[in-house]
Amino acid sequence: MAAPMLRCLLFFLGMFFFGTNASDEFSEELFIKPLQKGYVYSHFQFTTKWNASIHHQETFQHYHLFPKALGEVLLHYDVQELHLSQTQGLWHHRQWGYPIHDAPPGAELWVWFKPSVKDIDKTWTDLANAVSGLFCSSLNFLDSKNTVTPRWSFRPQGLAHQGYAYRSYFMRYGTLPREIVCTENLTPWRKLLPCDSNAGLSTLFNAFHFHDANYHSLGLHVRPICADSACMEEAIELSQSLSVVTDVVSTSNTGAPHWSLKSLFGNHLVSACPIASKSVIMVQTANSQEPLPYRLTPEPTSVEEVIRGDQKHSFAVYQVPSFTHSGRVLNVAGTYNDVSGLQEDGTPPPIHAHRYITGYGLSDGGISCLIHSSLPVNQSIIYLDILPWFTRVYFSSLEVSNNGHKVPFKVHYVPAKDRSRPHHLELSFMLWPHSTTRVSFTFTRAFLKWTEYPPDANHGFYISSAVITALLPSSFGYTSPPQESSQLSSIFSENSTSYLIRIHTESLLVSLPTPDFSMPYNVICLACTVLAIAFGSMHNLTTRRFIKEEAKAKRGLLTKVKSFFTRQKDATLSEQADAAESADQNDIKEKSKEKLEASNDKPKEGDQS
Amino acid sequence: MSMAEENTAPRAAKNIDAKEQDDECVMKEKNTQHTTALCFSVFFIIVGLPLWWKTTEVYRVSLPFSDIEHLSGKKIEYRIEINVIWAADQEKEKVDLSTLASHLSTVLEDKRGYNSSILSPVHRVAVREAESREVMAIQNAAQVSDLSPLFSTSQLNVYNVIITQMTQVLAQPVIAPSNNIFLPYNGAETSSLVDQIVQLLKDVVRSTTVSKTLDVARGQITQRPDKDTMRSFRYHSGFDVTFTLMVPEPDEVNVQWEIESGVKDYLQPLFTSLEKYTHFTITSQDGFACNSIYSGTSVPKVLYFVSLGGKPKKSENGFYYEEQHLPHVINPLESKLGSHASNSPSLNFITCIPPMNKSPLHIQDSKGKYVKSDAFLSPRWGGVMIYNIDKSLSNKTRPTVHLDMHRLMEVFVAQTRLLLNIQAHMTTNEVVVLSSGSSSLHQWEVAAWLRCRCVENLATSTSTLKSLAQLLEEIGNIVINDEIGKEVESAVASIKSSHSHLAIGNLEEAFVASRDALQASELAFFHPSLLELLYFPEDQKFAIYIPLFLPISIPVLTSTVQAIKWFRQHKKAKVE
Repeated sequence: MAAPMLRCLLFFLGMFFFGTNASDEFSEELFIKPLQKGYVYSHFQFTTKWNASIHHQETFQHYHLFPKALGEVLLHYDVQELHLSQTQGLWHHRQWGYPIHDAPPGAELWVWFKPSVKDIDKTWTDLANAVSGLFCSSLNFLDSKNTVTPRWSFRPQGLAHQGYAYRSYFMRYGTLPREIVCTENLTPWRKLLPCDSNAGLSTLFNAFHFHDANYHSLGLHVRPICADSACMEEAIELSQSLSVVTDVVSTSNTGAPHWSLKSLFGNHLVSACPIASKSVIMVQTANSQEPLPYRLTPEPTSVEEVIRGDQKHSFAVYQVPSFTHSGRVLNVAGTYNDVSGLQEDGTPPPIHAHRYITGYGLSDGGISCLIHSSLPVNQSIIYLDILPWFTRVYFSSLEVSNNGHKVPFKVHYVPAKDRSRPHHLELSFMLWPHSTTRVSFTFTRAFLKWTEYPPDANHGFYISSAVITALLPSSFGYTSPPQESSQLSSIFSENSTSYLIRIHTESLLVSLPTPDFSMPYNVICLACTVLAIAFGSMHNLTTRRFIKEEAKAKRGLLTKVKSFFTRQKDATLSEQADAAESADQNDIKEKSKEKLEASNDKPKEGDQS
Repeated sequence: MSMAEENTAPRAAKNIDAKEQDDECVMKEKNTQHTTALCFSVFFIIVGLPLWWKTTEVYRVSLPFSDIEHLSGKKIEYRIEINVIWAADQEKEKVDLSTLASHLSTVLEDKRGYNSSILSPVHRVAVREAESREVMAIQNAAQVSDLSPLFSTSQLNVYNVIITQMTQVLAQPVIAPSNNIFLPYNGAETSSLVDQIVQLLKDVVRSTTVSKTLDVARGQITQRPDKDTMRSFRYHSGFDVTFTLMVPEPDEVNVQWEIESGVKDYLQPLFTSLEKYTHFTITSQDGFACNSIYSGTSVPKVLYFVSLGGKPKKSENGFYYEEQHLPHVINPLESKLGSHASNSPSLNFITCIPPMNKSPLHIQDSKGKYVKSDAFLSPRWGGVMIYNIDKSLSNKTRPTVHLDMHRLMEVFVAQTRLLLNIQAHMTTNEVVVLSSGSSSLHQWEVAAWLRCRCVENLATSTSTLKSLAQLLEEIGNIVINDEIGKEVESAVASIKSSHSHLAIGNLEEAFVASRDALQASELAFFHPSLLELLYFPEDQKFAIYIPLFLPISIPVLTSTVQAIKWFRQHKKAKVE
């Protein structure tokens, strides 16, 4: 069905790559796309191409532009491809179209290991630890509980043998939807750039502006690619990307949607990275032939138009070095002539999705995902959903429906194992033209052990985003570069007819039955009480003598005291009697005894004291 | 008790009888009760206590504490065999060989050093006359290196001292690569000859370095560490060697370096001679971030670092760093050098091309002179070399500069030797050390290095085990699982075998055993499971124990006390 077709197309590596075998190559690009309602999408793309094979041990002995810290990790853990994204905020596909690299909220890591690796699961854990050290993130929490091996959704993005790529055996995918991305992640990521933030586009990095944005995403992708168009030699490509969506209207002082580098990043651009072979700013001016609603200053170096499938995309291109030489600064700005059209909703992209939790209460629940398609033809997609083990999915409730009609689907389902494996659900099915397809299933919530709850248990538990993969026939709203290169300028020379998209839906928050955490002490106290009652009564029964109170009603205090003394006296007397054997005393005693016995054989503790 | 019985019996007797019977009955009942109370306590003592003990016990494998204690006080002996070969035929009558032998061994025994209670070399001296072919060979030798194979020995702890005639080739003492010392005889007395031999042996065997290493490893001179011991790394099973080229202005000058061939030609022989014992991973990188340590470049970020003091001073013919400012130069580089995949310590060698407006750049030592090599060494970290480019090149636009690998590697080889504690410094004057032509180590250097590292490893692993034992004594909550137990056992066994190998002169085996001991002991000491129960709070224990034990222990205890009292009284009464 859809999967093999996708697979074949994903392997396709284009013939368009310009490069030299001489040494490493580094390029820096900034892509700006003004969105509807005053948002601006900026994407920094730094691409390092290392003309060496990732499969050769000797490659990793001499580093030029490629960062050594990362290269050592790749070598040590036998990594063939590594894709990491750290994101804050949610990308709104419906309004914003498709980003260049789609990323789920939180952290996502997926890795293809070389076939030489021995114990993949262990290597994955070690790698996650190393990467989390490298990027100051909590990727070390990627254990078997949130790691899967997707069967269809992910294929190698770079060069790979057919046999290797056909099976997902060497691949691991894990997400941490709870992960929060902040400056401490940006700093180590930036350090991997050859120019750091000393020169070039990276001087625009301003953590304050990034974290003030509606969405920002750090990406790092390493993959083997073709060194040149003949594809006789391998190269390693490191693509580092940073995406920001800024709400210009609410952050600007004037409330106007005009944007500039200064307003987006708080700085002008003063230099190009001297090492970079290419230093470019691209502004996507229009998706079709509409006239530009805003005016660009300064005039771009060139305007590139490219037809991708049925759509025409045009870009204003600024060659940074020609603008920044001899101490000048570059401040690309867009000024709107007419703001009225900006508030309208844009046309949504061909496929977008919305996923949410259904049900109420704390025992049962469900997940529904609505996938909208505005394509005129049937579109096959792959849907991947990973649920933690404590949401016990009812496979029987799984249903894909379109307007009340059931849609046939192919499914790969790996049920969870408590505390060791998540639910892994992969579906492949058709989206019918101009319709909405619903994927739904229900689950029941499991009880956790009290030590398994996170510190803020009542906050809820995250379910990571679902991933929808499709090969679109239309490039409407599509911005990614073609498969063969991560450089954005390779878009200009693209001639493919299908466009791979990967949409990450919302991550979800479910609340589980949460205990009162003082419970263990309550249990201890209860257990002790029960023990005290049970044991105490048994102990008393066996070690105490029970005597009946004399039926003499209402003895006054005086008589009580008197009787106490007489009793004591009696006791001493009886002892003396034992010793001296006096008959008289015996008599007295006898009498008293008889009296006692007559009044109902009462046992007495008299001589115990 | 029936009343009828009472009536038939005589009154007094009847009374006594009834009382006795009654008493007996009460006593019997009491007896049973107290017995049950005792049974309870016996049950709790026999079953409850061991059960409680067993379930709350901290798991600990028994460790060989006595062995560890014994080993930490054990004296380390290493054996050195010295063969003195008399090849000075003409002067034979001047020196009696047996006197020489006995004299030499007494002198060597005396010179054991101040810490002879923990470390002592055992010397075995053998003196023989040279065979005639050996004498012939010496007389006909064109150069000393020809003679080495004749006397060569593969054993690391055997040293040959060949006493020859003064010839043109052998005008002064020569130390040849394979443990051979050629000493031309100058007609001196036995005692001065012995002194000469002992002096040479001191340089070759390096017994003072060995004893110093031991002291440092035992932590005895940590209060006042000297430069030598601070500078070099301790033994590690692997090192990551990184060569970094820093180019602050890649747009001004195009720098090329053939580091791969440079390492292969100059440094690889050194690493090869040690590869049996430790592993070196060599990587290199070009960096473009060097400008962060300089001021005044076009990048605004730099101003940030000026306050660190990494600003070179200006003099009439260039710029210079003062010695005390060098640490500030390294600090900003650190962030570019770390590794996330390896646990081995790294040796960093950095070549820095100063920016055009700051060159030539030099380093000024404490006496105010420029350091000739423009390089400095950072202890246990690596070395930095400033590579000044010819100023005349700066007229061209973006000139290409090829770095002279010989100039770089000369410095880096010397620094590597210092960092790995392979000293080339000789105490004897007028001695010639035959070089092997490359940076590879001589047999006697390897032997001395192995001896030092072996002693160091032994001391380190012994003290690690001792600290572990001490720790276990002090903190009751530490769990010792089977794995740690096994590691400790193997460390102890390795230490023992290393000791015995050293004592009989098997240097290599002794070293390997000491390395195993070091690894096993470190593994045991730093095992994560040691910490598992360490932080279990004591107050929580009470929170559990008090409610659990109070309702049981108080009644059981009181009734037991009662019972014991009663039984004691009862016994007394019976006796009376």
